[in-house]
Amino acid sequence: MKAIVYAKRNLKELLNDPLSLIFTIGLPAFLLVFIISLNKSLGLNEAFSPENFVPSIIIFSYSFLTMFSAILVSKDRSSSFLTRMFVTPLKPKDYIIGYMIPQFIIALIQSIILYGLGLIVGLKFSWIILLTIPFLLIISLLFIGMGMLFGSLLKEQQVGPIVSIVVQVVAFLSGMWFNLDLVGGAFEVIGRILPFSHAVDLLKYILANDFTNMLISLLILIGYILVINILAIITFKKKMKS
Amino acid sequence: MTAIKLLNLSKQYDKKTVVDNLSLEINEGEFFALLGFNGAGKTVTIKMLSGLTIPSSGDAYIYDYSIKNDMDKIKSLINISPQETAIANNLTVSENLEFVARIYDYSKEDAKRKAIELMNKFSLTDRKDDKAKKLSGGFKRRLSIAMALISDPKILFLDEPTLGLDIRSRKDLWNILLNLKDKITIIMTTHYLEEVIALADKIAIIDKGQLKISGTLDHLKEQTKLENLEDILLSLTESKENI
Repeated sequence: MKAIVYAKRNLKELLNDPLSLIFTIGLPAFLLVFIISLNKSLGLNEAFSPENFVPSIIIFSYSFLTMFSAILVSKDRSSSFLTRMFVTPLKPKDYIIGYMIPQFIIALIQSIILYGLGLIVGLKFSWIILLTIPFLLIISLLFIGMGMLFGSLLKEQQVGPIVSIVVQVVAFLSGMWFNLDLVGGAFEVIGRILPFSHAVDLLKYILANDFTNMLISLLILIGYILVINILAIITFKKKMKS
Repeated sequence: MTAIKLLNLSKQYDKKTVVDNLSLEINEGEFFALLGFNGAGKTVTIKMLSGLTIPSSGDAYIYDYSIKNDMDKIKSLINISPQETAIANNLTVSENLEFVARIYDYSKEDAKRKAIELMNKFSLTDRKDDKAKKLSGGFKRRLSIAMALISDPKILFLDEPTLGLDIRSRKDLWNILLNLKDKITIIMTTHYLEEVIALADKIAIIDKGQLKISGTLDHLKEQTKLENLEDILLSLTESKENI
């Protein structure tokens, strides 16, 4: 119950911040419509077809969850807000759940809006789209955990520049703008080691009914999610004690 | 009745002692000021008493509950207004208050009622729908203290409540704090001597983590044979050159 109260506060903090709305929803929505429409007219790249680009842009939009959850946690730390909270009867689990639930809700809103726009600009409707929603929420855990981790580790002024690098990495190494197989070399290797391309692939495989490859991507992601979230929880608890 | 009892309370960070064998008793309903220069150990003392940091040795009792063993029980008896204004910036004034009340298990209706009550008491009603980040420093500090009071604590810790406020905001806050006198036990740290004189029933002067003297202002004057608090503070603490 206390975790829900804390989650409500965090959700309000995020939704009342116009910048977070612009970046988590506005920018990805604009890119989706703009790039797919441009691709339709000019036939630029297969990566920009609705089937490929909609999953990519959803994952890209989640990278801003990392940014804004990291900003929220580090701001709460630096502004003494968490000092006040640590005197209340809230338990460590209440903070962690309280920070994660709002991100889940925003991830769900992002997914619904971006799929909706995708359908408008040419994505073919299929019931499988609905099947991807629970998987999207699993994927969002990766980005939410990274946000908690960065927010617990970094100072408020450091969060913006450092998490921007994550956003760029997601953009360039997830296969969002170009197929990693076509690039090859070290670029492809790093892209395959990092979890972001597996997140995009997971969605593409589900949409393409390729369940064998889907399972491989899912297992890799779950490994990353577990490691990052455990690290985030340990770091947050450590900061609480100090 | 004793509300807080410190028994040889100490805190070391790395090998540096910041609170050194502090022993004190604070009675229920007292407005108690912890006075000392920067780094004297005032804030660390409050942090130990409120469970934010663990003592290295010694103990303190809040209504017979040990800060080492019974912090869960103590948490329902205390609240704090930290040094920096600790408010949720993107929430409105009333949302901030209701949020803290709900953390302390008040029902929605009771949280609303308590928020209205405190907004009236702290003259925040006209600003109830304003986001906290839009408030002036003085109003932010009022909100911060109101948030600490919404849980009806028996003990309130105020860490430099008027730091950085202009004279008018400071005086306004003093009036609010004076209205709280005798109703709850307040432990305040401050640098402002006039604040101590205006508000505190008892004073403890701390230097380098050690208690130099404690008691009423008259007691301090009697003990030191000095007439004003500034002279008393300076006489009991080491000069900057010696630090």
